[in-house]
Amino acid sequence: MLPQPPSGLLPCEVSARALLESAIDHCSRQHGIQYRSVLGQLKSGNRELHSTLRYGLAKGLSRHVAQLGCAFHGVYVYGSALAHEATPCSDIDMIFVVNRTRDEVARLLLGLDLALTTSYRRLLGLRSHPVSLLDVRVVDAAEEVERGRSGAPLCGMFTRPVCLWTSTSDTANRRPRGDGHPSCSSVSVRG
Amino acid sequence: MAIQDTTRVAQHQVSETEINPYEMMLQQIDLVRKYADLLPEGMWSILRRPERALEVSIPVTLDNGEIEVFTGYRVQHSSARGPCKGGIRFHPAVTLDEVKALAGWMTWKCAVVNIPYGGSKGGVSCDPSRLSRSEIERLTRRYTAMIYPLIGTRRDIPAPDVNTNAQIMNWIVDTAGWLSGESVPGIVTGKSLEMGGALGRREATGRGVVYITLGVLQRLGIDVAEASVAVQGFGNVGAIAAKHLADTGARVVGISDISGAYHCPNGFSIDRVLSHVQESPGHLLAGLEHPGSEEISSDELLALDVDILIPAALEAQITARNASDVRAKVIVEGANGPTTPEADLILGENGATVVPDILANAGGVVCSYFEWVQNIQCFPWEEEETNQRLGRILLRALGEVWDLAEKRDVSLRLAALILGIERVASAIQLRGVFP
Repeated sequence: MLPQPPSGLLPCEVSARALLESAIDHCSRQHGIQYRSVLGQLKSGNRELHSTLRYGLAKGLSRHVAQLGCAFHGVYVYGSALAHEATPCSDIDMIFVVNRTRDEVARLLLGLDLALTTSYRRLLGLRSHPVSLLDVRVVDAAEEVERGRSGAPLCGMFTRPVCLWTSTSDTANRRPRGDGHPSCSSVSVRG
Repeated sequence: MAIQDTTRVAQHQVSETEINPYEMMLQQIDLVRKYADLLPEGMWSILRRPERALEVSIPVTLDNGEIEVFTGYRVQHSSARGPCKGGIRFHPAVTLDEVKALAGWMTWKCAVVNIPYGGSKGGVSCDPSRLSRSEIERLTRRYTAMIYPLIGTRRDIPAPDVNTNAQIMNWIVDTAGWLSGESVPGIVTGKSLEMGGALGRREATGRGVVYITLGVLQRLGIDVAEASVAVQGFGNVGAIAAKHLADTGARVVGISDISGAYHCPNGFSIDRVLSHVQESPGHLLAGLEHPGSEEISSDELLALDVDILIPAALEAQITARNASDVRAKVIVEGANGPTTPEADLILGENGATVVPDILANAGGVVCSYFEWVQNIQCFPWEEEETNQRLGRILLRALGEVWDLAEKRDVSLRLAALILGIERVASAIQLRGVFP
């Protein structure tokens, strides 16, 4: 970190390194292969592993925002992270449901993206791509309710979003959901 | 391999990543872009890049006779609003990208308080704690000679920053004077008084924090005489802020520094605390004996039920871990970056008003501007005049940031950035693109 960084140059608290380690560990468990092998296959562009890695990263991010008080209401992932078709340059499509779409949320999500993108590129030896690892959509609680009323789930283009975490009333539900890497059909979608 | 083994290997494989500060600066521009008035695409391209970046090699003869070559930088981000202004830092972690990012930050900071400066920054990658005074002097003088084509009273005016001080500024003035054959006191600010420094410069950042705090209290309808204050950090900024807030009638009930934190519900006598600090070894609060006060933890200080919390110590003090414990209505960032992005979100959600560092601690750069004006005019001001003008400039800036925050429905932090960046963009548009 810079000495005496002004607020605009102060990074987020989250350790992108820890999130990546956790996601690689997730890949290792899901596919029953060792760390070095996971890394090698990620570098060679194994799509299934890249999808699993992205799902693991999304889970890690949902754990992080779940700790930030009442600003976030839910986290969803959709797209290539679920469809076993991610490439090394694919981003992670996520929906963050927030209490109110405030600029502090945008600042935090931009910071998380920069930290993750930087670490990810370094891990795989990529120079300039992906430009951004997170493709984030922020939805406020009112919009979530409105969409629920109209019967429309929070929708992805090709895959139905999977809810990773939601802040329902009891604390048990505050934990991120699902330990495995779900297929689209096996996970219920919360609209 | 067992899962535990895999995890252990993973911890060694993924190297720690430093986020590039320049990329962070670009990200700030991207954030502002979402909320700012519509500007032409080319304008954003101009704002994203520094006007000039100079890298210099600085050979220095060490005391043992050997020669070491250091790397230094001077970056001018923008001169659209006036001569560039920005400090010089001596630190092992100095890189070109760091200096580029900090130069951009200075551009926005000068624009927020509407002083006629652009932004710049300089630095030398070195560890000053391993250099003797004479080695630092030779390093400073050679660095000055190397960046001399860029700096000047009407071009680019350095100032002290991390690990640099008034003495180093004095050496820069002297070196530049010999190189130009003229007296050039206005080529740097933050000099010693005898060299053309400004009365009130040492206290300016702390005083600025006080002006901003009083302005916010007025806008929130809180009577200062009824207000309680906690100050984290009792150095040049925190102690001055505590002293002047107490003088205006506020009750300073919490103070801390690296040696400890103290709580006095009835309010500290700051003069008594200052006497203790002046006499104590290391000039610290440790061992403070004050009627009605008790020692508390630094976390408890941040969680005190006060109207105003002034973090004036280090960066990243209010974090996701402790932000929800903060009960202060107003947080005035006397230090640089005391609130992490996660904490900022939590504080905002809990209804706290956070006055960002770019505005709250701008008293220093405003007083630097006054020093420069006095040097140009060859007419030193009384300290009272400096203080009055400082208050006027900062309160005007606070009002503009506050109004913009309400108008655009954004935080004060983003409003300050929007104000700064839009002012710079406006100046660039008015100038046009040369040729």
